[in-house]
Amino acid sequence: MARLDEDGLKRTFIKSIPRILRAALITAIVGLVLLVFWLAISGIFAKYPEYLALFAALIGAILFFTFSIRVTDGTIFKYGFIVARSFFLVFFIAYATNSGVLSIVDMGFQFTMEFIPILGLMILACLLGAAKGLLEAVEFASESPKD
Amino acid sequence: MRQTIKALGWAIRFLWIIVLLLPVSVAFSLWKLAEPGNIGIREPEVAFSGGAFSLSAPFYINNTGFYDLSDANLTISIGHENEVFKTFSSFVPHVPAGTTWNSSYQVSLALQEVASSMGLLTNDTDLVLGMSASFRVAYVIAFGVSTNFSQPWKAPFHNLTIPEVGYDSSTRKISMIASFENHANFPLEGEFLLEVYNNRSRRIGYFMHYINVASDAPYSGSYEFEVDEFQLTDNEVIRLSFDGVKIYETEWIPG
Repeated sequence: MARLDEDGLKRTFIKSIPRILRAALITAIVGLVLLVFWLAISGIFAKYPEYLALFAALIGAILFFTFSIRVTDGTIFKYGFIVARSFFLVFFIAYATNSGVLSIVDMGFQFTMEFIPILGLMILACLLGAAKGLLEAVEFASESPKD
Repeated sequence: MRQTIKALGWAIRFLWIIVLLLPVSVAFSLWKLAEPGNIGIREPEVAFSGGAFSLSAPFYINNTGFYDLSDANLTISIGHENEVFKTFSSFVPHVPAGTTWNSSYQVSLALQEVASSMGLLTNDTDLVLGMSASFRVAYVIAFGVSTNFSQPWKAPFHNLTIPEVGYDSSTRKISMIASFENHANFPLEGEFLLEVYNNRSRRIGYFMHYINVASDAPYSGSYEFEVDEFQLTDNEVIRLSFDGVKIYETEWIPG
């Protein structure tokens, strides 16, 4: 029995290798694009390391969710990660943008930008993404063959 | 279910397109607005009359951007030693795209208000000026800038002193010299009133004089006037006023 289980695990792992490689490749491409973007903005935001730290956290989360969603493609976990990503983005956007009011101090001036309506649209888009993920999970579950 | 998922997908794409395009188009609109000649201040008019200093600065906003500007506000506050004693504000509610708004920034400061703020009339000092400006573009994105800076204050009655006060009991006349320097940018023109009060706060003599002191000019006046000798007490108060505003007060003990 134990021998059979071991063989089953091995077969599942071997079958998963192409999916893992594909997920790693896509994550690497996304990471490369984000790295180029990071290099482009790090010069501009060099004076504000707190924003760079937040951007680094966002890049880390995007790469994690990209890999997780790709590697769990074809399973119900994929939709779990999609919903989790949407909720993460809601909280992250609200936190990183200080609820839609950003302020910086430079050369003795305090510059403030308030964009609460746009933040509202972003959160709405993320929540719709979570709802879409949930519906896709229900559809996936209803279409999956029963054991 | 599939149709709903598809509709949600399109709604999400549409929302993200708006979220990304709106700030870009607002930035482009501001870029157009920031072109030379679109926002400007015309020559301000400065006047001093009726015991009040007034400044009128006409300004215009030519909104050449794509979006309406709204809730534009410019506030200037004047403070001295961590205390704000005057705030001026100008509010422009709405400048539609493609139109020009003409208005004027009005500042009026009565001498009485300056006098009530710790010796500003008689001492040069540094004032703390606070400035904040804000406006909203397309009704969704608001921008604001604020700063504080120090500005030298030039007192109109700088170094006001009454070095000597004399009293001649035979003529019942009090004599004194009052001097100051007008460091302000405007001439002082008005009634200069000298009063003497006894310790029961009763006025026992006064002298009114019309003065005209140019900007950055010194002033020195010698005065002699009669006082009610029966009302004289141990210590008197000499009060100087300009255009009805008390600017200086000192004690005098008759010799």
